Amino acid sequence: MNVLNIALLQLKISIRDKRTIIFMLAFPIVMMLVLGSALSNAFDNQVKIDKMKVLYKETHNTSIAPYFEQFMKAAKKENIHFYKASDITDGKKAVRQNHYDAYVEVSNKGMNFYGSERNSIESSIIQGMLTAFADKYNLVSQVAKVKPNQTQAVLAGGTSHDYVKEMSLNAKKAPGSMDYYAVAVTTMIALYGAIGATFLLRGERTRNTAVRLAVAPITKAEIFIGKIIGSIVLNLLSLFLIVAVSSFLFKANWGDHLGFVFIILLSEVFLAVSFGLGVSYMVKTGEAARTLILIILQLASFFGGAYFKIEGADGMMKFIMNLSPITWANTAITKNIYNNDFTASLQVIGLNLGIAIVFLSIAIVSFKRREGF
Amino acid sequence: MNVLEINNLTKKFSDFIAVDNMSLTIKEGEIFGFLGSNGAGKSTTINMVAGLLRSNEGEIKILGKNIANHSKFAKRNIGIVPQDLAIYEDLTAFENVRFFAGLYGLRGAELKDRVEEALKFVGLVDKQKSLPKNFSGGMKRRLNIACAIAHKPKLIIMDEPTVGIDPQSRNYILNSVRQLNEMGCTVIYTSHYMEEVEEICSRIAIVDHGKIIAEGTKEQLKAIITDTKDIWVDVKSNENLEENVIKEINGVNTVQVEDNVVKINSQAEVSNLNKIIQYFINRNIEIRSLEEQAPNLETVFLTLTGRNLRD
Amino acid sequence: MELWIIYTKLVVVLFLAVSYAHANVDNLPNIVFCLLLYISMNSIMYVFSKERIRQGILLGSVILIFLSFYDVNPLLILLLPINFYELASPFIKVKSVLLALGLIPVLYLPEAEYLYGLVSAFSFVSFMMAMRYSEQIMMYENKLDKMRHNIQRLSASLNENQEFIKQSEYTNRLEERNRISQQIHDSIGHSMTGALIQMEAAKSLLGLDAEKAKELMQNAISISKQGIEDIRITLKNMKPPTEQMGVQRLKLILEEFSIKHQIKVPFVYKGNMDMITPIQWKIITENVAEALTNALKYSKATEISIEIHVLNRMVKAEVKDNGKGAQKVVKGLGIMGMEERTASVNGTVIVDGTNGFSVTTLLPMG
Repeated sequence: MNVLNIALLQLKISIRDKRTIIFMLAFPIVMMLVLGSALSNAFDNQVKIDKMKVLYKETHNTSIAPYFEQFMKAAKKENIHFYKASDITDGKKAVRQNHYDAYVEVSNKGMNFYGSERNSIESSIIQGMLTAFADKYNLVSQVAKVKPNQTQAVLAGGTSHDYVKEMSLNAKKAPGSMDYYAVAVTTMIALYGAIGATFLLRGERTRNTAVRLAVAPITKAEIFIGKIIGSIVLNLLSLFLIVAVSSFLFKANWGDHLGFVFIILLSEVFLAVSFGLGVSYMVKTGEAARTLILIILQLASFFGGAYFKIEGADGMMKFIMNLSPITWANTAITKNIYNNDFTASLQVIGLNLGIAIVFLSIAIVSFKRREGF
Repeated sequence: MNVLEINNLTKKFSDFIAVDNMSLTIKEGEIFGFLGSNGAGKSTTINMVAGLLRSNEGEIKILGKNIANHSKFAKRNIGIVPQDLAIYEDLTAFENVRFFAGLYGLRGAELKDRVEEALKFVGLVDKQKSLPKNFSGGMKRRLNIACAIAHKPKLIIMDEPTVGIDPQSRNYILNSVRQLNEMGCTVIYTSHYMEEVEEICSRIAIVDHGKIIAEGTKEQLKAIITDTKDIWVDVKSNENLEENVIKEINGVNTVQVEDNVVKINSQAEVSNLNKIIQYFINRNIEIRSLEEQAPNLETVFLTLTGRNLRD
Repeated sequence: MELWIIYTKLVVVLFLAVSYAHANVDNLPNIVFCLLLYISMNSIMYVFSKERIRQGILLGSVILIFLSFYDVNPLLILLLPINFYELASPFIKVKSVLLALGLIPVLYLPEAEYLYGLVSAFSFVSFMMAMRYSEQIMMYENKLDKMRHNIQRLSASLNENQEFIKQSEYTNRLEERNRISQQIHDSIGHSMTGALIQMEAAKSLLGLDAEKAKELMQNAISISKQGIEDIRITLKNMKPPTEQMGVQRLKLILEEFSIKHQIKVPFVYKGNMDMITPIQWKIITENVAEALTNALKYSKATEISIEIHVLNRMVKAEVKDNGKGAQKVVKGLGIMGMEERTASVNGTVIVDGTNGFSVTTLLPMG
């Protein structure tokens, strides 16, 4: 009963503190909104390709000419338009000036290709198609040498569409920027619970109310447990609101297993609170504890990808990233949402609880030893 | 009935001895004052009684039970008004008192009644829904007291409850201490304002360097120094003065006349100032000024320790 | 210490035995012989208590090891380090040098140099540990001995003192008794005898000459009166005023102290000194003396002032110096002694170091 009283008290005094509310609700939601919309380009996985323009120059009377003509026609269906260059045009310069996406010189000896540096996607598509064409032409010319009458059959064998092959990379199931930041900011805020936790018992001391708690006929364990429960519930409540806002307002994807996501978040909050408490007992002053935790949190947030997604890291960077609890939670939640994979979640929950217990033990031992409070 | 009994209590902070082999008994119904300068060991003693600090040696008994073995019993019967304000600024006055009273096992309607009673006692009923943020210093102090008395403790410990507040609130608090005492509470009151202690305490201990150097009623304490007082009367002329007649006044020991000043030495506990003044009036001797030098607790402290209370 | 070194040696020998048992060596009998010789030398050594003989045997053991290293089996060199440390430690006090010397053979060994290094280091560590602990034990035992000795000495002197106190108390009493009887004899005896004679004469004259008898009686009365007066004076003289005794004694102590240590010791007293009882004087004097000694030892003061103030219900005796004081007063035996003394008459001692150093003894009166 006393535990409940103290937990309720903790909730009340936290909720009535405006700074807490701003910090725990407004800050993450604004951050999600800003980062999610500002950095949305980095996450656009649908590359839009407009009409592609290719400039070509053909030396006269090549044997390849009729086939190339056929190719160009087919290519037009794929929205690739070929434009014949006049003799005086400097094709390469035209590409450099971004009038065209590529420039091709066709002669008997073969084809010379100049792609645009700017529109690399377009130029590589064109390059790929030209290579396919060249392969086919080589095949035809070889066939023609042996059995000239079979060339048509070879050409007919490949339909003109085959120059580009479509392969879906499961595009629907990759997170967009808002989805990513919703998860990353939420896990980050969960970890920020550590800051509040440094004041959990220290706050009572600076407020002098510790004296009253200590003279009341309740045990230290009741105070301790009540305080922790209060703090965890408060953090979970704010996370719940953040998740709700992000999913309804920002349409972020939280997947179909919200319960599991919350269990991961709960374990992370527990880790954060224990960490904050532990540090507050290891460090002498409240300011020092706060600074230390802020530094650690900033590092964890940065390397956990809460500010921007770090992709393709390896070696040292990857190792550091893997030290951040935000990385753990992000990975677990992402796998949860997109792959329905729960094993990662269980590992992360276990890890969080384990570390939490270590810090909690430090806090408990110091708390018990301290006279009064 | 001994509400508090302290035997050979010692508290050390590493090398520093804060409380030194202190023994003390406080009976039911007393307002017991601890008088001493800052750092004399008053707060340390109180904190040990309240269970905030552990003693190195000695025992403390509350209502006859040793607090080492009956900590919950002791805590239930003690209410402490800490030196520094100990309230939650984000809770209303009512919520503050209710929370702390709730820690003493009070529930439901009883809890509500007690909280209201306590708030009424300190005169904050009409402010019960306000946050202490908006309170004056004196109101906060009063709330601080309410938080300590809602569970109706037998022993109330007040550690410098009047530090830094306006005279009105101070009077209010002193009155409420008396009222609490009339309601049957035993009170321990620490202060380094000797006027306060002199005013409300029925028994006083002078504490210095962790020791009780003198203990008793204020009269007993003053009598340690001297049992006489000096009354100096500055008169317009000493013509009609009969020293022998003044000497006849009850309690007067000696009378000396030096120029226009009549120096009367009298027994301290006899109140004869009126009679002395009456004498001068009857003889038509004009009094220009009158000065009474009786010892107060400050002088007792100064004489015994060689230092001022507020050093 | 020896036990652990023996264990270490045993470990090395066992290691050698096991390694020879596993490897096929041709001259096993010789090796066993060397090992046995080593063991016997190293056990015989501890039989002798003389350091010289031990060192001789150790030297022999080392020579044996070298010989068997060259002629019998190179692995036997592993026995060397511990013997070497034992032999060299009294001469080489710097531990790192000792270790370095012990490791030198590593450079010249044809085989098993790492093994040798390991054994050498291991031997060094166990040897050092054994030595350190045995040194500590020796030190403790010495201390204990010294303390025992001290206790003996102190209790002896305590007994002596007690005897002396008893003796001098008895002598004092005798002297006092002697003086009193002398005085009674001198003054009162004479007057009583005189009065008696006069009264005898008066008695015999009572019938014959009443006038004369009356005169004689009057004489006897005045002689008796004189005698009573004498008794009073004698008694009064015998009992010196406590005030005189206390103040004078303290003054004497202070003067002596002032001269001896070249330090100013002003003394002030206020109030009715007659109120101080002899036992209180005793405590005050002792506390003042103790506080003076303390002040001299710790305070670096140039002046130590003493004030005795008799209040209405209390005596206050303050010893205050103008030295450096102490922010935190740490109670030593001296202060504790003062407290105990003072507590025996329900008084308190206040020690304050905030402004110079002051020791105030408060004793209740009446």
